Amino acid sequence: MYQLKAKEIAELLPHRHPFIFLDSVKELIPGKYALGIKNVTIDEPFFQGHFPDNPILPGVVIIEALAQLTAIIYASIGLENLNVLDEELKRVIKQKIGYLVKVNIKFMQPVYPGDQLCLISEIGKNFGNLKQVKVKVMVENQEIAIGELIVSEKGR
Amino acid sequence: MAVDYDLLAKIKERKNLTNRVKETIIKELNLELTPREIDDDEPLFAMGLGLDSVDALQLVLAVEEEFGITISEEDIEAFRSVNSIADYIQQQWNKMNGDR
Repeated sequence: MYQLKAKEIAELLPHRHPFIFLDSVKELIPGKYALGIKNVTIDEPFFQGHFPDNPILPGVVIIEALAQLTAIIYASIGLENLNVLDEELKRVIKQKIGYLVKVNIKFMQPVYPGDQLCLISEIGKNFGNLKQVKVKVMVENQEIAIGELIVSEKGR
Repeated sequence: MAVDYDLLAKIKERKNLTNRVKETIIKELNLELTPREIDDDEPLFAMGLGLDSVDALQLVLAVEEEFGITISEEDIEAFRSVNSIADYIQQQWNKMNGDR
């Protein structure tokens, strides 16, 4: 089981500020499962507009956070030691990050600044370059969102 | 003329299975069709019903759940038509019964 800090996440994902929605990965089984953390702060740019007098984390941001966590799961396949990433390996990994293909998620509770999202993603069925992913989001012990994504891997 | 009740029962059973497959397809993929409108041998992908690869994955998952079988990636060939899916399900069921 691996753990990743923000710096290591940035080495695996092509995403950059202001579009990284993952602070750390607490548990990672490459190719199978990950548990990630996203701390929500009032400083995020989208709270200016969503909404000026009532800051609520946009649902699409939660979906994107889950998609990024899922990308980590399959980008990390075959990595023996995540602390040693040479340039060539980083390039190969970034090429593998594909696209979000389908989203089926139910939101149960709104998320506010100060909340800590606990994101869980588990790869289900693989079909060609498509993967079914089971996802869940918790804040403390409350279920925030639950559902399923389908993602595609690039470069096959 | 003697009536082959055994054969009639088999035909009815088969009809039920293909209907269940059609209902699964329609429900899972939100198609605006009735089971009657899907031909048993109509190609599901491309020129036929026009399903795509994402539909295929969803359909595989739905068939697994509905019929209690496990479908591997190599078996995607079975998803050509309603009839071929029904054959595949029947095969998997027979295998499972054989294992018991």
